[in-house]
Amino acid sequence: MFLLLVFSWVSATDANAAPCCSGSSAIPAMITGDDRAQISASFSHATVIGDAFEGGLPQFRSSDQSETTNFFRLDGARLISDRMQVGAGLSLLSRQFSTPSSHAGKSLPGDLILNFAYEALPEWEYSEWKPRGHVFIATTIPTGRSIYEANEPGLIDSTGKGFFRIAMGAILTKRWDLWDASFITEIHRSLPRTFPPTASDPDPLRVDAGFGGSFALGMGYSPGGGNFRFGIRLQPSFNQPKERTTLTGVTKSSRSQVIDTSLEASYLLSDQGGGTWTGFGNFNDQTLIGPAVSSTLNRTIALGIQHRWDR
Amino acid sequence: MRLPIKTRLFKSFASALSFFSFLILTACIESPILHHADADTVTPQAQTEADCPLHFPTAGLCASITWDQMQTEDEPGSFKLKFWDAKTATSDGPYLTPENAVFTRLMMPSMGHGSSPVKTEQLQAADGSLVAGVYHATGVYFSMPGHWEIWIQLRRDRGVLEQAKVDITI
Repeated sequence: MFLLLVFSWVSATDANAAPCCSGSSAIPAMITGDDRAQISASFSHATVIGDAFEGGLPQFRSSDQSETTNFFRLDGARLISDRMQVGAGLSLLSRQFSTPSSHAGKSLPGDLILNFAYEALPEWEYSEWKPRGHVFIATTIPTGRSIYEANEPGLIDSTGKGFFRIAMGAILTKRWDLWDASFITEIHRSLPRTFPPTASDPDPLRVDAGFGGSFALGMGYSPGGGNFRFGIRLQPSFNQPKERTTLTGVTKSSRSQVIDTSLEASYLLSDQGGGTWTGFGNFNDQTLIGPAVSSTLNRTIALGIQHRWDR
Repeated sequence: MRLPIKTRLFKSFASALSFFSFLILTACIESPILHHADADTVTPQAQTEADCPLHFPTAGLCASITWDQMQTEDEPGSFKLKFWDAKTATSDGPYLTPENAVFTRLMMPSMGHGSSPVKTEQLQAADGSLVAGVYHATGVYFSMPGHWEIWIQLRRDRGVLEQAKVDITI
């Protein structure tokens, strides 16, 4: 029963509220347990707390001003053979910007993620030390509106990265009695793209977002081996400077870096009829551990439900 | 005698946890929640050169930005943009209307993105006539705090003739 809870996490970095960081996590939806298929629905609420710059102190925003993103995500995965699987995730973002006397909002689709994974380290028999491992490749399709195409004040109409992005990574998981540990790593490359002129920038713009990556270390515990599991996860993320090319020349942004600290909880709701239902929650904070560079700093609460079909 | 694998495993895990905790503690020194500035303590600062804040050598013009209103929590900002002949006039006038269209673009260089559109129109007098060399930029909205650039462009049909910028920290 404990095993069914271990892998019910949600990537809290999915909901980045800030204009410059909209879009989905590079870690796709995957089956990491002994299931045939799974589907998850989650809701995240993210609030921009402050902004980190290159050099200098981060600046927290005024309490009179509120910038939030509600992030609705549906994702699923299924085995196509004993060790291979495919998955997909799609999302809808609703962004809000509020002051004491005004309010603006916009709801638009986010990016679509398609992925393929292979169980490179299967767990045929129990081992004290050998983890279970999956490798994956994921493609982000920019179905959301990028920041380079946004026109609304506060750029609240940006809901996607704006680039085709390819990510490769690995997930290692291990369980000992009531404890579990996980390690996730990925590297991604966004393909350069030329954006057409907009009202805020009448010249065509070519952006090369370069390489980026992240890794996550997580631990979990299930009291008494029962239906409940809670965990903690740290996830630093990095991105190269973006290169912008316009008619007037080439400029480069700063590199970006942020560290997510997550508290996770999940509860096995039902385990019968050839499948399971699990509820999960997650609190993620980007202000606790630094340094953060050229990034907004968000706090996110996520709730979700997942159904899995047994093999 | 070799220790049981469970003991070795737990010792390795404890060592890793200790190292990880050390990393966390050292990282907390730069923790944003422990070391940050609040919005109220930061005031916008623009950096300009006094005699010719914005220089357009091809057009032979200088220009300056004078804020009507800085961006507040409720409203975007606006400013007056004044052009004069670089050789024969000063920031006090007489002002000269550029031959090319004038466009304002906001840019946050560290993040690599701009902001929502700024409307830049030649100022109209009370009688409806256009005021020579004076433009009014409205809807100036910086989507996040930090270092921004205000780019003033003189444009032609196929793009930018020339441009100049003012740095501002929000």
